[in-house]
Amino acid sequence: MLFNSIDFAIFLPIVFLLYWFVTNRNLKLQNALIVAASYVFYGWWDYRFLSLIIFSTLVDYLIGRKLKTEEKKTNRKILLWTSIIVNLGFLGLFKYYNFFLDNFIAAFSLFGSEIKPNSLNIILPVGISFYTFQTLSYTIDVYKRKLEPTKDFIAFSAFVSFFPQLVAGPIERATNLLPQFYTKRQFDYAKAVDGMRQILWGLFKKIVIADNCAVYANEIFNNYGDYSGSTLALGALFFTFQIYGDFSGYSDIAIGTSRLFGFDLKRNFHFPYFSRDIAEFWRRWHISLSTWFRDYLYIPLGGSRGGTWMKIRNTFIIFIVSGFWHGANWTFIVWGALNAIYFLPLLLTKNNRKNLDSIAEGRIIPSFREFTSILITFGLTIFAWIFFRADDITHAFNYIYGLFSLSLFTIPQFSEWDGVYTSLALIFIFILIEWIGREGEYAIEKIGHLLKKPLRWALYLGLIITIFKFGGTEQTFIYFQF
Amino acid sequence: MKKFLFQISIFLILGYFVGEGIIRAFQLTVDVPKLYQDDNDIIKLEPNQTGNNFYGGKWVVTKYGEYNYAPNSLESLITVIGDSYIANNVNGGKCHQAQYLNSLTKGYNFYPSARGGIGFLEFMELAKSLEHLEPVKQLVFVHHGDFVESISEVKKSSQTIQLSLKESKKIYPTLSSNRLKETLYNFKFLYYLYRNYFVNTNNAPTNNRDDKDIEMDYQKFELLLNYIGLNYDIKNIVLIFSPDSDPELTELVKEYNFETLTLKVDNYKSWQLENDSHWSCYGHREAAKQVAKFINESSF
Repeated sequence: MLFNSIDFAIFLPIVFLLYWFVTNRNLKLQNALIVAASYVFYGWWDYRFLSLIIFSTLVDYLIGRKLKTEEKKTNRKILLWTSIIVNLGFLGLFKYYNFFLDNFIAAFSLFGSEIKPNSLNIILPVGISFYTFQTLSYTIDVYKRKLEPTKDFIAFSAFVSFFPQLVAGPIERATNLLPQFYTKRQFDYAKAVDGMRQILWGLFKKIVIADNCAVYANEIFNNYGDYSGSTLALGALFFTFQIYGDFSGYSDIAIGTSRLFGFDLKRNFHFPYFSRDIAEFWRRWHISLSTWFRDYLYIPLGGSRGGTWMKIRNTFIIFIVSGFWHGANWTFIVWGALNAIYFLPLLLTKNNRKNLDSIAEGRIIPSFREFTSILITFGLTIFAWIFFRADDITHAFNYIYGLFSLSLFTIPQFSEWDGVYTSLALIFIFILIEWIGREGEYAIEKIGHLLKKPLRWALYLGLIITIFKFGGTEQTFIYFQF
Repeated sequence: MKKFLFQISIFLILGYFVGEGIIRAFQLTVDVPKLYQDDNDIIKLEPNQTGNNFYGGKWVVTKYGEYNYAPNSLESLITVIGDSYIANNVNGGKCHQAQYLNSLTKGYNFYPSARGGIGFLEFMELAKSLEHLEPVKQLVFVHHGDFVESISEVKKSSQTIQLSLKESKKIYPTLSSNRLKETLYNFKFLYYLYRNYFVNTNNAPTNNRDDKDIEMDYQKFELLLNYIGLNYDIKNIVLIFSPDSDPELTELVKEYNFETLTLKVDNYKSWQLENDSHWSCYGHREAAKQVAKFINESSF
């Protein structure tokens, strides 16, 4: 079920009313409703893959229980690795099997051998990378004794399958989300209103910004050979806002929806395009994934301790694995590696934690230095997104070759400009609102608080009208495929 | 919780009125004309109404209950009968075929009679129903798809009059009750949401000419033509075949004593709209030139 669909618009109020009016007296019943609703939400797409979620839930629940009583280090390790192998095994099979197979065939053909193994016609289960990492975090935390394993199977099932963030995150840690299922939720008016506001902002980002930009990004990336360098630059810019609007929009809707049910999810985006360097960008983009890799991969590998080579190795590992997490394609690996290259100079010169404060704090206009830093970082990010969006490496390099040609200095070419102007104007307004609201959790959080009710409602209605008026064609969320 | 639900309800009601205002001010909904079924069970348009069409323009139903063009007089009348191509809502009511024919010929008045989605048998019914106006000629704009749509055993359609070859009788479309629709049309915003988000339809006119898998069963067409020859007066009828129509069918029709004219063009696409196979104003003008030449050279 898509957040931007009529199905969800009907589903959400039904679950909300059942949750607060029918099951509100019994915690177990309330959690059971969440599990049932989550399974309906997921099964709406393809009910067969529910079995994967249920299996993962069972495995990690049982391993968690066993880890509670098991004291022997070797046995504990075996239990941990069982969970890792089962979860990553599913992920590997569904997401990476054909990728590895194709690359093995290509590698063998280099040496003159021709092999014809059977490739599998595999459908990638929606959200598998997200819930796999969520359940893994539980087992790892229990193994490290950072978290008490749960006895409550319903609460654990609800934690794994919690529908607002099931298919595209934020990837929640068991330490944050699971305890929220143990305590009775009280309806909080302010929290619910805030949730609605965040949902509205998320819908705006997705339907107005991402879906409008998608039209031009798709057209230009799919027919890059027909366009001038300047149009290709615009295509990359459109994709830059498409991916941000799409993914952060999803996160906003997920967090807002959770708040309606009395849950607090972790922030996933923090105005990343206003970052002053790449290190700051990675502290602000897809925060739940970056911190997951930091805590469960980077730090166990040694992090930034050790010598220069160790730092370089670890940086490349974390960025490449992070890229590969997004999809079984060399483009994601190159995207990850490119970000590692951007990041390394900052790390090696110990400048990676330079920009920890708010951007232009207390000021409306940033300083020239801040503005230049933001522009440079933004430019580097746009360039990296080309690899992320391209179908394959050849596509990416051809796109870049076309981009950096003399035609970069010509006027972009479009058969009709009206839609382009509209999209650019919407992007401009979007940046402006994000800039004004950058101190909040999301752009209109503070704006909403500051305005008086009539103006506040006018703002909400304005956003709703914009969604109806300028909403692009309904498109699925990009991160569903990851 | 009560406060939350109350505030949400107030916001939704307010939002509804704002939405209703915007939809009406910017005319964002498509209007469906009021229809009725006459004594002969033919679906007709109620005269003197207007509304927004799918293409951003307006449709107008004249005092005669026909789309977009009314003749100045009913003297020396030539009828122009057809489907959505002749109704011409796609061009926002501009550049009507009858209007072009009027300007390209002398001494005749042209009376259009058309409705989207109807087929050849219904064209003949329309021609019959217009005989009381004593037209000097009846021009029927056809395409082979119109013949296909007229035989229920070939392609079932609930929008037009069809012939059941098995029972050798006409099957009339039924007009569903208008009361619910009329009520819904008054809530423009709800109707807008319903059309755009629930049923996801765009109200684009149906077009049998886009169907690439048309079954050309000439034996059944012969039975249809035989039925029409027995039940309708065809001496005043001229069938104007579209350039993309099946030539074998045109030859077959001639064997059944129909007077015909086949429109010709080297590049048929140049007559059509960019994203729609209906004729553009240019297409209508070019078609009208050929029909006008035929009229001017004939002595009706």
